[in-house]
Amino acid sequence: MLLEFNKLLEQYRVGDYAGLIGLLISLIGFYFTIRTVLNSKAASEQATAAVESMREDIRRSETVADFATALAVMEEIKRMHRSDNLSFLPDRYANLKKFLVSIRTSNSLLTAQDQVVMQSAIAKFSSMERLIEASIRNAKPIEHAKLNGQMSKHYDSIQALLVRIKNEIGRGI
Amino acid sequence: MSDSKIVRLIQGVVRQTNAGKIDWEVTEREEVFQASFANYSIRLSHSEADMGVDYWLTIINNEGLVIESVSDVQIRDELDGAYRIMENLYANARRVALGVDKALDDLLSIFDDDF
Repeated sequence: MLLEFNKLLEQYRVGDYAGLIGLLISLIGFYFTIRTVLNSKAASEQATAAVESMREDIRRSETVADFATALAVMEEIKRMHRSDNLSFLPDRYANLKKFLVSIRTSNSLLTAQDQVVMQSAIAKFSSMERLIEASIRNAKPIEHAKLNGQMSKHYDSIQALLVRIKNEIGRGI
Repeated sequence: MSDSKIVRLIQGVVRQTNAGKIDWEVTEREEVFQASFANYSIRLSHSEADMGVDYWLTIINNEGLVIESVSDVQIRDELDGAYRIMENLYANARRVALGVDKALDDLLSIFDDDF
C-alpha cells in the first residue's frame, strides 16, 4: 500500500510540484512581508515628517509672537519720540534690539533677504539709540519726525516678514 | 582689521556701487547713508575737518556695534586718490539712497516726450 502510494507520488512528480508550490507560497509571503515593511517605513517617515512640520509651526508661532512684541515696542518708541520723553528711550531701543538680534540668531526660517532686512533695522536702531543718548547728554531735542519716519519704514518691513511667516503656519512649508 | 583689507573693502564697495548692486538707503541722520548685508552694515558719512571735508566708511556688526571706522585721510598712503575715490563713492551712494537717478529718468521721460 505504502509502496503503491510512493510510486504514485513518483509517477506524478508530486514532490516536485509541492516544492514549486512551496517556493511560490514563500515568494508571495516574502512579497507581502516586504510590502508591510515598506508601508511601516513610509508610515514612520510620515509620522516623523508630521512631527517635524509641527515643530516648524511651533517655531513659526514663537517667531510671530517675538515679531509682534518687537512691533509693539516700535509703536511705543514712536509715541515716546512724539512726546519728547527721552529718558526711557535708550531702554526701549536696547529692548527692541535684543528682540531683533534674538529672532535673527535663533531662526532658520528667515531667508537671506530677510536677514538683510533684519540687519538694516538692527544697525539703524543702534545708531538711533546712540543719537538719543547724545540728545539726553547734551539736553538737545530730537527730530522726532525723522526718527519716526525711519521707525515706520522698518515697522513696515518687519510686519511684512511677520505676515509671511504667519501665513506659512500650518501649510507644512 | 589691517588697512589693506579696508582698502580692498572700499574698492569692492566702489565697484559694486558703480554696478548698481548695492542698495543704499537714507538713515536717521542727514547726509549719512547705509547699506546692509546679511551680517553687517556699512555707512558712509562726511565730517568737516581743518583741511576740508573728510569722508568716512563705518562698519556695523550684526548686533549693531560699530566695529570699524575709517576716513579717506587714514588710508591716503595706501590708496592713491583716496579722497576722490571716497568722495565719488559718497556721491554715488547718495544718488542711490535718494533715488536721484530714478527721479531724473522719470523727469526726462516726461520732457523727452515733447520732442
